[in-house]
Amino acid sequence: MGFTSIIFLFYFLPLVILFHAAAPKKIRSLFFLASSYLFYLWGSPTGAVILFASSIVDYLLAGSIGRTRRPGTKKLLLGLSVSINIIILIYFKYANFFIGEINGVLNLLNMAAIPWKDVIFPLGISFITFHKISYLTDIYYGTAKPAESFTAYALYLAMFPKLLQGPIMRYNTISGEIVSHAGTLDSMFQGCIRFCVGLAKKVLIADALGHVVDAIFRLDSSSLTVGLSWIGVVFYSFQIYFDFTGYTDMAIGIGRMFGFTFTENFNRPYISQTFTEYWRRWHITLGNWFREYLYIPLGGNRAGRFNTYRNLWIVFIVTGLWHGANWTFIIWGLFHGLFIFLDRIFWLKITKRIPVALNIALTYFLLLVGWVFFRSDTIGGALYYLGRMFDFTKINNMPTTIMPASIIGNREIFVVVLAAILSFFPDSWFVQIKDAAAVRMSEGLITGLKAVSAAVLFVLSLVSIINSSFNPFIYFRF
Amino acid sequence: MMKIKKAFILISNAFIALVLLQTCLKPIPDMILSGAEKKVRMPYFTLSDWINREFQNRMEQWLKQNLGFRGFFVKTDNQINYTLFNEFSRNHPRKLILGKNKYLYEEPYIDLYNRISVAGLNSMEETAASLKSLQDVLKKHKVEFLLIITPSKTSIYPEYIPEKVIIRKNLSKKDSYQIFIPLLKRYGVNFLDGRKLFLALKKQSVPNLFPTSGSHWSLYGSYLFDTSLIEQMERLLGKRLVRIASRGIVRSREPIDLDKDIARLGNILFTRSLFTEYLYPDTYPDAPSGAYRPNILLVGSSFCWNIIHYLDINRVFSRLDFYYYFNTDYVYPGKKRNRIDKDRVDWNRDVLTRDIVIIEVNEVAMDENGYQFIETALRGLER
Repeated sequence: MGFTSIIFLFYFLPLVILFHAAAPKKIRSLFFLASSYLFYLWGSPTGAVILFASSIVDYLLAGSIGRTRRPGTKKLLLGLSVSINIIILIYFKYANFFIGEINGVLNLLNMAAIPWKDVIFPLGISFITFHKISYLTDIYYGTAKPAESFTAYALYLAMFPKLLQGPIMRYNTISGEIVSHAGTLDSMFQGCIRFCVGLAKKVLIADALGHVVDAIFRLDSSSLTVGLSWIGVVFYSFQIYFDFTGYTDMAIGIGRMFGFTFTENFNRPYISQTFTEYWRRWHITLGNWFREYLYIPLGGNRAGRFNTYRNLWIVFIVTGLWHGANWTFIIWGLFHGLFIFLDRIFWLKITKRIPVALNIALTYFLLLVGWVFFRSDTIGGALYYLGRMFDFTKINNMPTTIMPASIIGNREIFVVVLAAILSFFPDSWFVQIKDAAAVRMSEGLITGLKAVSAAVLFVLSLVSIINSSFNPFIYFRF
Repeated sequence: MMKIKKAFILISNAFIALVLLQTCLKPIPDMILSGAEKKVRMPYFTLSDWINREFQNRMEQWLKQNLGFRGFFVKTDNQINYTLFNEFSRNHPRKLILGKNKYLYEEPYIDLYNRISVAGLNSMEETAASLKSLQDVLKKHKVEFLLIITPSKTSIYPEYIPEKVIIRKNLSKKDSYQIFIPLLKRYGVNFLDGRKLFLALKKQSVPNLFPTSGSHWSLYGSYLFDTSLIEQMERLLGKRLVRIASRGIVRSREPIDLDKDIARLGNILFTRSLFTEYLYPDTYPDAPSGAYRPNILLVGSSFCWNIIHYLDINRVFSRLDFYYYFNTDYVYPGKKRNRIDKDRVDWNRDVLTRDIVIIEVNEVAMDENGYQFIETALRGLER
């Protein structure tokens, strides 16, 4: 169940809040774990079973890693536990892709294909696996203590607000709250506000832009003009940002309602001046995870230039693959890796001499090119789309099968302008507005305004969600 | 400050509780939504449906469709779109487009105007040939045949289409209608051209042929068409039929039936804001003694409802069967409804006993070949 579904908004979340508040402190974690499994069982029944079984194995192996004093055994246990989880991830997320590719090659060679039935992908498995690896590795290095109970570890993995899309958190950043957490009136209020903001980002901005993006990426060659292809990718850049940041806001908000403090995941990434900065602002917890658990273990930047660059490329290929089992994601990862690489070689020095606005514009432009790969289903589709974007010889061509106005309504124009303002507004302006409000308005007034704004955003989002389910014809043809 | 936070949380909870109460008990009558919607049934739980997520998907759809105050929520969202952004929700399978002077259009008719959906010459020629064959077979059995072409709002009132949705460079191309008419003439099919008639009436400054708030022709427009239809039937049957006369025209700001179909489909809170002025003839039958009331079989689309309206209230026919999309048979007088089983039509009883068979086809559906009636009838009658 998604956070924007009716079953979540009107049934699951209110009931869990109610019973969680009523439950004795001793069993709150257990109750929250049960609720989280119910949430996961609804969305991904097989995933829930796999998660439960693998959590038991992890818990036992992590306990052994924590207890044993022999480095060799410790290493072996870590290798075993991490391998189990990576094998599970590869099987469920990548097996269809790899077998499909191999069968494609076998087909070209006129050889019999490997018999294969597609595996159902358990939701959130990438996030769950990264949580598990971070936990096991932290126990190994002694940066975290093994969970004091199975409930605590299972809850760390299955906690429903962050189960499907993160943020990815290390066990020791949240272990205290897992053992003992309680929502207060203040945390409930702050959580609700954050949730409503996230809901609005997702429903009112991302989903509205998504209609346009879907329509443009579906267009045939006679209609996909230079202008429309640029509109499509610009809209997509905002759609994916507001979708993901909206989800994160909702996750953080729900966490606050129950007394958890989740790590921030985004910091206005489109104002980045370089790709290096972008990866400090976009999906921060994923970037941190790769740095901590892949880049540094590979040697990081301590083993000479060549190895540093090799490590970077590995990280970005894996980053691409982590996002999805498709060549388009691998190319997207390599594309980002290329610019991180160029940053390291010379670009970071040059950017210092270029005006900030130009740096931001250039980085955003390159990000757009990357998004084309991310959004396209195939490499061929992505190259075709890019070909359209840069075919300036046809810049005056108008589509023959559709008018842009049929795809992009006034509401979408308003939404994209709003999204652009929210994305590119300088940080300092936000701070100034906040400071000015704090000086001129009482705390009560600010709280009241927040409450009213959140309520309006919730209602606007709700009516939009409900309306999206209403697709009537004038008449049925029977 | 704590009071504000408490109040916010209390009000939020109360709101959710109220919606749930309405969902379960419906103490307040909900606003009714216009339009035909596929109802989702509450799913039964089975383990396999649950594992492959079928159960969950259907349950979520069912909950969405049955949420308390759904009508109010949908209309509120649509009203926001209309008021703030001057447009309708894009959720409709056939998008609604707000034109100039409150003229509303459905997207397929705009596509027709933009020559996006043009039927192929070969298929049109096949249709024309089939129509001619059907006309000949019926003639052998002394049943007359007439094809009526109903116009699209965009053909009659293109001046109100918003400029931003017009593909100018396509307008020089031929549309389906322009391809079809010469073929009908070449094959000698009897037809009544509603588009030609309406453009002629518009030239004579006859207003309101299509209502601003409707997708189909207006009741007034179809009344004018009916008079031509009766004239044509008289020529084909060689008999004086009951005609429709008018005492005068009533002006109203309250549209009737189809005259407000798109406006209603917009499902905004204040639908009346979309209404303009409508004309309704005060008709009576001109039926001198000996005037003949034919037995008619009419096959067609929703454009036929307005054709039938004045024919029915003025008792122009003795019996009329309306084969709606050749799926459902509405028997007049009385509008009794029967399902049509295409494989079990009794052609002798249901078709050859008629005075005339009329097929209606709208400009937007010229490639639909009479909704399979033509080929089914040809097969059935030639047996």
